[in-house]
Amino acid sequence: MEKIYILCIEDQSEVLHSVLEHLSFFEGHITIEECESTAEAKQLINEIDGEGDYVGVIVSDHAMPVQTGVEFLIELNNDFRFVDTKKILLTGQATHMDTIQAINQAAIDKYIEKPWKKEHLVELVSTMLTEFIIKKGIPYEPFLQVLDKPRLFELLK
Amino acid sequence: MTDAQHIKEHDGPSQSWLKENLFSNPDQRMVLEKGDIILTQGVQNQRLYYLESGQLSGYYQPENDEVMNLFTIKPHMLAGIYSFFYSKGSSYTTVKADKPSIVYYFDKSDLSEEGSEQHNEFLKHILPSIVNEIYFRQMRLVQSTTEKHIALKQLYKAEKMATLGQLAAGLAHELNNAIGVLHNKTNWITEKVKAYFSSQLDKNVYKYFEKGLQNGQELSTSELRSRKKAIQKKVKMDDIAAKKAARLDIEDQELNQIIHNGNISDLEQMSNFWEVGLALHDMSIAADHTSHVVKSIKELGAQDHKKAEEFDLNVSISKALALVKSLTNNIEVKLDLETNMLITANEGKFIQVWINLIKNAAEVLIQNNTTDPEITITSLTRSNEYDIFVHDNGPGIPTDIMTNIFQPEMTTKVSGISFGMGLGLSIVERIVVAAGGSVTVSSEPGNTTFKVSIPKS
Repeated sequence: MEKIYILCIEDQSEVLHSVLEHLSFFEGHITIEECESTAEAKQLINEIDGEGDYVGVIVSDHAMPVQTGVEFLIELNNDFRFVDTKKILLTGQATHMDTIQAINQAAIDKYIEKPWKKEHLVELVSTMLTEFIIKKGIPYEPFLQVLDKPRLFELLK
Repeated sequence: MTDAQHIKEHDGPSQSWLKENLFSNPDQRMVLEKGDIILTQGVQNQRLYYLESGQLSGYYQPENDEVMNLFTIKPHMLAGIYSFFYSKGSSYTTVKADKPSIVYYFDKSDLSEEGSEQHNEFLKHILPSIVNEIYFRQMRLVQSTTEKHIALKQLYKAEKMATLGQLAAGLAHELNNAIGVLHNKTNWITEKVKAYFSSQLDKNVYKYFEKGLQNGQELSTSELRSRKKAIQKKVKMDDIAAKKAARLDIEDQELNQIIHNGNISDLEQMSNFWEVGLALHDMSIAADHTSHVVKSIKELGAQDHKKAEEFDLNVSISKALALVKSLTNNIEVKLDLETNMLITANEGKFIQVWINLIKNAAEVLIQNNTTDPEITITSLTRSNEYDIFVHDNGPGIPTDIMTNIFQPEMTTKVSGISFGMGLGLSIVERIVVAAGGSVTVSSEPGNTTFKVSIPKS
């Protein structure tokens, strides 16, 4: 069976550890991967795609050296392999212009402001994951435990 | 306009004609003591004055405001031209002697009849003086408009900085207590947990708690992935377990032992305690980081209560270098310093200026792995000011950042502890501007220079 990945990108390790700890909720059903830069993320998603697996959700920081989260997500949105990947921007630093640009170019699905609450992040990722699975026509039963059931029900109607 | 130019305008044939024909009558010679008044603001004036020696000044008294010194009259210049020719005839300034002076005057009643040859001759020779007066007034206007513009700009900037400073000080004060509690309690709980774990846990497990606490996550995310793959190649393990083993950076031998004994739950336990250690480690880093940011904010908002004392700028640079030594270990620091560049200011503030500039340069060089990294500090004594240059051979400042590089929120640094919240340069600017100086920057790849100019005090 193909694996579904949740990918976290954050250059500050203390913050990355928090995100990972919060997303450990999905472990056992979904594979969580972490990256410190968008360059590393690009390499990894190519590998994941090469294996025939899915990049379901990306949670990315915005303010990072070399390439910002928004730039990366826009780039990803223009790649047919990752158009359906759910993109979440996690940031305390995006300016209005960055955010407007990201939304206009349909690069992000959700925006989470730092500092965030664990329940909020988990809930949002769960909803995104549910939408991704249905959109891709992946059998949802094995993942039921970590999916957003009301949303799933809505989508199945 | 300078007085020298003014006098020059006055020289020439007309000047000597005026002197000979109008301003040479011994009966119309006045000897002035310092403070004697020849023209009074708002009072009718019938006389044209010629300053033979000494010095006069024109004062204007605005309503409900302080007297302003508008101009100075040097020898061979005229006073009272405007009111003499102006039909309403009242002087717009009060003209006083600055020191003992000698003037000659010429009265309206001495004027020859209009149309007479003498009157025409008078007009011909007085004309350059009138033109000069108009030029002088125009220059004063331009000058004062320019001064006003500059003063307003400075005022606006000072106001902005003051508001920001107050805001920052308030914010820092509020945050300081909160972060102090988090910082101290983190240390306290770490000690308690450490003591408890060391007495309760198996030493093989405790070892990993301590590892997480001391070192945090040492492997980078990509190193973790390759480590995980390597483990999975050697041992049959699921993704989650392999990742845990990778994060622990566990020795192969120890891992084999665990697998061999079938105690995979040991790995689980090690990982759990390692994570507790990591969490405490991250908390401590975050608390340090926040304390550092609060300190920077306080610095930005700090009101300078310390007394200004005379010190040598070069000595303050050396002191700063001593403080940032740990940052410049792998960088060649070249110094070309003069001596005896004395100013009167708060030395501590200036040490802060050099620290911030050197720290910035060092961080840029380190972050970008510049080959043969170099920082050069040069100091020069100019006629009115001291110039200090802090130069680095880093990649240069991106042009889009250049324009607001002194803005408080500007930062290109994002990595962990060295993160300064982008306050460094605005602190530098604030301190230097407060001392009446300026900071400028020029940058191209391999060549970035911050120039600090400080007026001699």
